[in-house]
Amino acid sequence: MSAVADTAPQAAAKERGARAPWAMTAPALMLFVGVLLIPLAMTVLLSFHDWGQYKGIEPVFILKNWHEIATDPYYAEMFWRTFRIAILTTLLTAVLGAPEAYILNRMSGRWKSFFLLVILGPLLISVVARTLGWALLFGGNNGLVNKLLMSLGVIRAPIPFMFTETGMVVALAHVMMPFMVLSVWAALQRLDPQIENAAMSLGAGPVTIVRRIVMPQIMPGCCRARSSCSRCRPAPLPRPRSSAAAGSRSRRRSPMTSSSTR
Amino acid sequence: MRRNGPLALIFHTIFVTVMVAPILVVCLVAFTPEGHLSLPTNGFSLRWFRTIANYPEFVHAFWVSLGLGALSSFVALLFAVPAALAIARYRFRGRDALAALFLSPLMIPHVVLGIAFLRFFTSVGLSGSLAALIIAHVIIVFPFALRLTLAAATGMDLSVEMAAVSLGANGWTLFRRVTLPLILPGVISGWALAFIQSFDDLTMTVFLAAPGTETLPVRMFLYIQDNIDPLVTSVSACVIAITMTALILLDRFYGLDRVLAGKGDTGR
Amino acid sequence: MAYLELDRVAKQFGAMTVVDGFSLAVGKGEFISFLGPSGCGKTTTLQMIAGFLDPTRGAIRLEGKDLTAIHPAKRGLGIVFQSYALFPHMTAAENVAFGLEMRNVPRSERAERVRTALAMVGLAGYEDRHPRRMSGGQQQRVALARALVIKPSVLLLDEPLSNLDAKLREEMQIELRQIQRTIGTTTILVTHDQNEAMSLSDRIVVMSQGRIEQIGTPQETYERPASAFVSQFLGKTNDFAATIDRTSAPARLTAGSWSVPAPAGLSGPVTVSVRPERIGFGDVGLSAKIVTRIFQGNHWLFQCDSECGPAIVIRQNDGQAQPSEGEAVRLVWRPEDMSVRAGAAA
Repeated sequence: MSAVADTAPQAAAKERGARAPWAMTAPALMLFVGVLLIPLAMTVLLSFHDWGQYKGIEPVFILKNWHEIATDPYYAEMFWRTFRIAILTTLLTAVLGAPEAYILNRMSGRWKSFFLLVILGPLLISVVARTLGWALLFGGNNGLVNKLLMSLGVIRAPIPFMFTETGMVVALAHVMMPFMVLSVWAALQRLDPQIENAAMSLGAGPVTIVRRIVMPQIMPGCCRARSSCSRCRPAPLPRPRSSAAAGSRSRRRSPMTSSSTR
Repeated sequence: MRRNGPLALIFHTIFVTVMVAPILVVCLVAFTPEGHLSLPTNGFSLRWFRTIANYPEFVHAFWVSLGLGALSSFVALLFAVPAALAIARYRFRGRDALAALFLSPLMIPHVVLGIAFLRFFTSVGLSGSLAALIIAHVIIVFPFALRLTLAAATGMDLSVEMAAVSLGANGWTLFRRVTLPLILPGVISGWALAFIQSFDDLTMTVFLAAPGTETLPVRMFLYIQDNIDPLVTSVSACVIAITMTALILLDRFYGLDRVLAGKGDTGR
Repeated sequence: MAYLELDRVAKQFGAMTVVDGFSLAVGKGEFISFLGPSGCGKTTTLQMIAGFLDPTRGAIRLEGKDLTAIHPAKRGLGIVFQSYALFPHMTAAENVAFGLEMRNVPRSERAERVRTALAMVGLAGYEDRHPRRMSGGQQQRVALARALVIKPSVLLLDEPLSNLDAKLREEMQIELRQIQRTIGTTTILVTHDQNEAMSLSDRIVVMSQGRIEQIGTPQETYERPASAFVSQFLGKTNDFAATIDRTSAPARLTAGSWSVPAPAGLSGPVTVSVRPERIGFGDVGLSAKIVTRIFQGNHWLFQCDSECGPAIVIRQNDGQAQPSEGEAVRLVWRPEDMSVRAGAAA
């Protein structure tokens, strides 16, 4: 019953007119129908049309294009590669991003906001610039990363990064990382620090606390970030000329994931 | 709050280094005196920054990007603010479907949007025009504008509006004097985020841009396809510098975590 | 004629009836409280007067004019919200001036009235403060000044004191009463706090589950509760199951070993309701045993196990010796201190 009193203002707002929400959303709705849904529908329609080198697009209804995608192993390979890269990227992002968010959350105020700025900053820096940076770091067999790893004795022969899936996954993980850190961090923010202390007072060690207390509470945040990661498609490392063929892979900047408003 | 152990701090150091490395290396290479991409080993030079002046198309593309970002974000907000208020305030049939539609540009790969827009604008005779570019950008930045406004509108205490009504405010006055000032932080950060998205978009814009309406990312992308020389790093370094300045200002005045997490509430 | 009149007002949300058959006539200058537990419909009723909700049935009239036909922005009522609902982006003075601006009051007069209103609530000198830099009590005063400065025909207070701590709440109650007496504005207060309702109001409307249980002065509702709900809600009370036997002459009211001549009217099973502070310990009466005895400074609180169920007794600490725990006692009260209702005690 108490809900009634609490929702009274909400109900009051609702009552002010049943047509109001439609009037308020109508402009945006018309915009979306006019310049999003219609173009998309046109594209779907296009997929049933015929095309030839000399005759151009012919407005007929055929399933040739669909049949080609379904049967040509080139497309199957492409879809599978896209999917594989998305999964690997997501895993890498989660494995590194979640612990970093945890560490970040335990820092004191000033350091926390400084490093948050450092980690979130790349999010807002042009993807072209960032990808260029990776190309410079990977750059052939004597790129900076390979030089560093070999001088540290981690690897003996240089790893080919450029134009490989390894390089793509690393660069993509870099693009998605801020989203993961942000989502997990937002989830951690909602945790009551006293809960960790309570677990400790009951005799739980640090590993147990993370595994039994922290993880279950932040999983929703991880999942949200993960879903947005898998939505991303590889950003092409700059791949002069040939990129048109491989470039049907689109880059997807994913949504701000951490706050669902409802 | 307990402290991080040494292991955690080492992890953190490596993590942050990797996060900054690509950006740092671009900025460093921009200062090379050499004619090819290399780290400046024999002295710093501003040579490649001066070279930008010889390529007016980069400067032009920068202004196009800036104008396009500012305008499309603003137009997106004109549509998004009333829609966000409706979605935040009312429970009506089709509300969830509408919200999903308005956020859908996030889910559709930009390549698909690029193809769809290209075909659409060609068939209505707008292909290659600035207007087409603006409309397309309004669509792709709309979700960002909507979400942050929605967060602010949802967090708003409705009784404040009721108080204004009881004191005689109504309609436009109510919106201008009370509602808008209360959701303004969310609206502004929505604009900022939308602007960054628009400023940065390459994948979709590359389909729509024509000579004269090329944005900076498109211009840079096209340039890399033809030449690899340090010019593109010096341009990137300029963009990074501008972005960082904007970021720091935004963080100072509003809090970056709030902008990115979409917590547009007026409290705190 | 009544100043503000609610005539069989009802409100339904879908299938749920939140307020039903609410009729009340408020005189000019009166201070009325809507008292009840949360969910009893008191806030909904207030919202209907304010115009944020439309009644499903019934009429609301102010000085004989139909209020429901007027838009909330034009009703000219002053409202203080539970959350105060101050405009966070305006200073205290700007908050108070807002309603005057909407009424196109000239600038000089506006400034003067704002100053007077803030001074009246004891906030002279706080004109340029923003709400977030004020304490809860100060914000509350700004909200009150903002509602009063437009000279409202009715002042509506929606749990205005519930966010304040106990001491501040008591101060504000006294102040609110003084201000209301001084300017004579007809006032309706929504509250779930019976002390607040009793200390502020001329009349209390006790509500439960969307219906009016009783309308009366604080004293009436306390001493002559019309229902079990009212007697329970307004302070502590003891309900004893009793019977009235009209076969014997004179008729008798009997509860256990206690028996008195029956009051006129009722017969059969009844409930006898007595306030704990009206019960004394005597030689004849309801037999009971003291279970616990709690010292509370100015009074003693006894929890007893009587032959008609548990009972609470409050005795003034007047220096007299008091019975101790485990002692057998007899509970006595004067006939005029009890109220008798039909039906068995719950």
